[in-house]
Amino acid sequence: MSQVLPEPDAPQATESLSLWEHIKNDRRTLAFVFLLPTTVVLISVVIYPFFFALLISLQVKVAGSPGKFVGFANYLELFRASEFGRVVYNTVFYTFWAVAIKFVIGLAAALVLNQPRRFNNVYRTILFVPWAVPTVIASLNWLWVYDEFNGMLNTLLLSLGLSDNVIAWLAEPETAMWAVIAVVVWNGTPFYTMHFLAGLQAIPRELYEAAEIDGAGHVAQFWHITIPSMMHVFTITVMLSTVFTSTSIVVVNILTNGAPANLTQILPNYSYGLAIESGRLGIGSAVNVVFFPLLVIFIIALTRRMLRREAG
Amino acid sequence: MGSKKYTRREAIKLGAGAAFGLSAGILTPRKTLAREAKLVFWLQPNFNKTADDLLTAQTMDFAKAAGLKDSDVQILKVPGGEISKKMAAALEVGAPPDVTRVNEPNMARWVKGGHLVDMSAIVDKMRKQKGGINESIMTLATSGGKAYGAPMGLNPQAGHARMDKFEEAGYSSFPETWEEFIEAARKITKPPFYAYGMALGLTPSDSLTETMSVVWAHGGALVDEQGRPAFESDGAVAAFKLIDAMYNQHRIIPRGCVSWNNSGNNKAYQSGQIAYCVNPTSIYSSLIKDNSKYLPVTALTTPPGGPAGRHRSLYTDYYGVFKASPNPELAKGLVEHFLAPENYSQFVVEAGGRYFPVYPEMVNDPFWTSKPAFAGLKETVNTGHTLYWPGTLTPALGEVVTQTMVQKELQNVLVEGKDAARAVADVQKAMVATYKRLGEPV
Amino acid sequence: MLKSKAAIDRFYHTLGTVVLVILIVWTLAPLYWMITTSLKETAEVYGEGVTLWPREPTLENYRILFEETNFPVYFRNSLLVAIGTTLLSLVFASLGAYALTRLEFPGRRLFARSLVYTYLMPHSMLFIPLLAIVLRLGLENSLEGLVFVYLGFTVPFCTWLLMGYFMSIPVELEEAAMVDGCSRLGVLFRIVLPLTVPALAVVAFFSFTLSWNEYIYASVLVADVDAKTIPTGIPNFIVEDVFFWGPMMASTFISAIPPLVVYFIFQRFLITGLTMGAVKG
Repeated sequence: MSQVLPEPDAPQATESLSLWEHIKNDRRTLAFVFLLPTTVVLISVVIYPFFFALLISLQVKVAGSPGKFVGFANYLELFRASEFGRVVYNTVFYTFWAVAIKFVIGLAAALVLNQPRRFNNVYRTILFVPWAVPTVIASLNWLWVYDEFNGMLNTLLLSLGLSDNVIAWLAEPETAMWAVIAVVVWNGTPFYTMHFLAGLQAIPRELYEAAEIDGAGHVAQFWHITIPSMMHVFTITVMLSTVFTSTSIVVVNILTNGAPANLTQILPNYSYGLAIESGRLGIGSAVNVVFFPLLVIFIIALTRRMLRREAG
Repeated sequence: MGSKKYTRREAIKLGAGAAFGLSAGILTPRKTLAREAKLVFWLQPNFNKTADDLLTAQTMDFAKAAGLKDSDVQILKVPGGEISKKMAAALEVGAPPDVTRVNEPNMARWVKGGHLVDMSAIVDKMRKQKGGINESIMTLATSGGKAYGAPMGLNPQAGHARMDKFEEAGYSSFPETWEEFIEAARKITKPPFYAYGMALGLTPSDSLTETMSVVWAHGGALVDEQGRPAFESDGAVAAFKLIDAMYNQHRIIPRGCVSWNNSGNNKAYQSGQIAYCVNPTSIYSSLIKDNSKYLPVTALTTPPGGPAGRHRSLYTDYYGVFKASPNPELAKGLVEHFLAPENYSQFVVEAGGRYFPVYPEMVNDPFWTSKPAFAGLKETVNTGHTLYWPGTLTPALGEVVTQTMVQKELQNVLVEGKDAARAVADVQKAMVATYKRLGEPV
Repeated sequence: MLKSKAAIDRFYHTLGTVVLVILIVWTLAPLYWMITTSLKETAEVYGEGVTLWPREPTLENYRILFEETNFPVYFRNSLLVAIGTTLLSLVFASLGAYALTRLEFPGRRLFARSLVYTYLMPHSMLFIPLLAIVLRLGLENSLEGLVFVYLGFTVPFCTWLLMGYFMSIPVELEEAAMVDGCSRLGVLFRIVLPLTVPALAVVAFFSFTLSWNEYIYASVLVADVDAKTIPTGIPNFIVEDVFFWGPMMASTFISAIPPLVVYFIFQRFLITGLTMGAVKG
């Protein structure tokens, strides 16, 4: 942010002008005017609700009745709940693997799409399609793919002879969480592919040419040029996607709602169940408040480390 | 823009003022919510367009008779599954509808929260017509001698059974005990066809009904007569063990049942993948609507029994009027209009068997007598008990239900091999904690 | 070196093709299932002996979807909300990003940074308070209410993306124009924005897809089925005691079309826009 316009015709702070002239010529006034809509939106739909949520988490509050401040009682109840540990673990597990797999597949897709190949535009469009499918719809679609009796997955496995029995993908403890993660990965990978492809195309060709002259092979070029040049894109993409992924209740809610035995339950859906299904707004908010620092810590750790590597 | 002159400082102040002013304007609570409509009805679709249209028409008829203009009436279609969520939000800001259908858990919650108005007059009137109403369904909606909901439909829990499959296995009638049922089921099950589509998922309604049908047969219950948590019992342990055996040992229940939502058993039954499941009559009414090939071979029965007998259960839907309503008398008038026998009988028939009429005499109407399967439910309607028997639904019990406390522990047994007795004890522990927190007797 | 460079290149190209085929199969398989299901008769959808291709393809599910369900209303609502959000986001974000990159004022850096943090605020945390705000404005059950709250997550992201892009445009161009007597507004509209088209395309695209997909806020803020959007309307096809896989799969297919159209319109700008905005910013 080093490029700021000089002020060739800055009016004196004391000079009186019409409002329009201020807007036209005075950068501070103009900045205020320009940022006004954004500020109003952010205060009313993000910042204020955030503090409101913090406040609710300290109350016993049933929808429709006035809340009663109880200090940290909601948090204590949460930490004592037998399933809470498992839900936190699930959330971390789910987020980590979903993000990691999206990252790997997205990078692979971007590398492949960056190779010269005929009809690349077509492939790019195809690989982009899942992003166009709303997550709710994608989840319903996959619910139908996983269906024990009428689903495609079992039908395919049976007819290819890869399995001799139908598998209830969303009910078996070994497969349920992975089935959920697969949907998140399917739906969210194009976000990575697009960003990574953009990142790859921003790497100056000369770097590769120079490396080639030095005799560096593809693998060496990948590790010494591609990866370091992409650090910034990696950071941003992972950061944004972590927030999307970890706070989205949709896939879990539609596919399993936590079954079997809470093995797929994650914090945002847990909160939704408490706050919305049972009307306990206080403890529901507390779940989210507990979750927020987890997210912030992760993001800070990620950006710090990646940005430092990038600088070094 | 005007000729008024500003210094830069003034201009900036103006900008900052505008930003905060606008935000504050948006965020300041306004006590009185502008509401143009005089009568707001949240119509919960009955999955049958004719029935929904009929309710709409009845509402407009009533409005006209009450001298309201069309624009004074607002009908919002809110799916039943979303009511709790929407109402939590609406109550929070003091803008509930005037009238809507209320299910049992919400009834308990909203009576306790003081959101509903006294409807005793309407209920008293109902008691005097068409054979009166089954009094057992009123306990739940009554508090301090006043009725806060007017019953609008009965939902008998029916064991939908494919009698052709049972006959093939050599049973001329539906098994009377769980032991007999398992025996028959083992003969019937030939994967991918399963005998028992037992809803076991983490959604509040069907899965708890299924579980309790086994628990009751073995002498257990959710609460005792005083409404205290009483899940920990030999009966519940026996039931958990029996379900575990059906799921893991005999394998007569599809594996996927633990992740089913409420439509799971409907889909499985209607597409001919299971031979038995417990559900409100919505499955049967869909079979009628689709003219399914399974319709003639389907019987509506009572779930198998055990040492503690055979249990029939039902749940009730009510109409409720909200205290926040600016015109409660108008709203009550609408409910009375819906429940007047001539309007009501038309509605239950249009709903295609989705609800059983609350007035016993109406069961003699041709619609109900023409389908022999319905005969099996008459007894359920007249003598069945609620899910909360022998106690009644309280806010604490409502939370036990919505948080699927029983099903979560049952899943621990089925999926993780947790000891049945420990799981039952843990249900009891969770229940007691909830009751204590809400100040209800334990 | 044992192998020639050409051989190595060919190896990587072949490897790439294999990976590409796998990725395409993985991407298309569920969509294939969605489309074939939508073309099957009800009896075939649930029948024994699952078929991978409809025995007799039929458009019956599409007819049911458009004639017997509320889907056309959901579709229209989604479209209006997505377009409204996109247009407003474009305006707010361009103005904001210009101010934050070109106009010196106290607190500029702080403002820019807080944008990123507001974007990272989990939605699941905000829906309860947001409902209170929307109700106060009398915007519940309305599409305007949805547009208003969607701006809360599109504007920070779009502003931030545009900032990166604006910074890549040489400031000298604007200086020259201002020396020639062009006002700041003139500079923004005549010089900066025309150069920013690729980034604006990215912004439009993300605003559109994000608001097209949004679920939590929509599910809490809208109760009336006539004001529902696709993500909140469709699941009602199976909640409760009814299921509807045929028409639902038809609806999933149709609801993927508008974002694809938007993608096609902006396709040639997307990668450039992202490169300059997100990647370098």
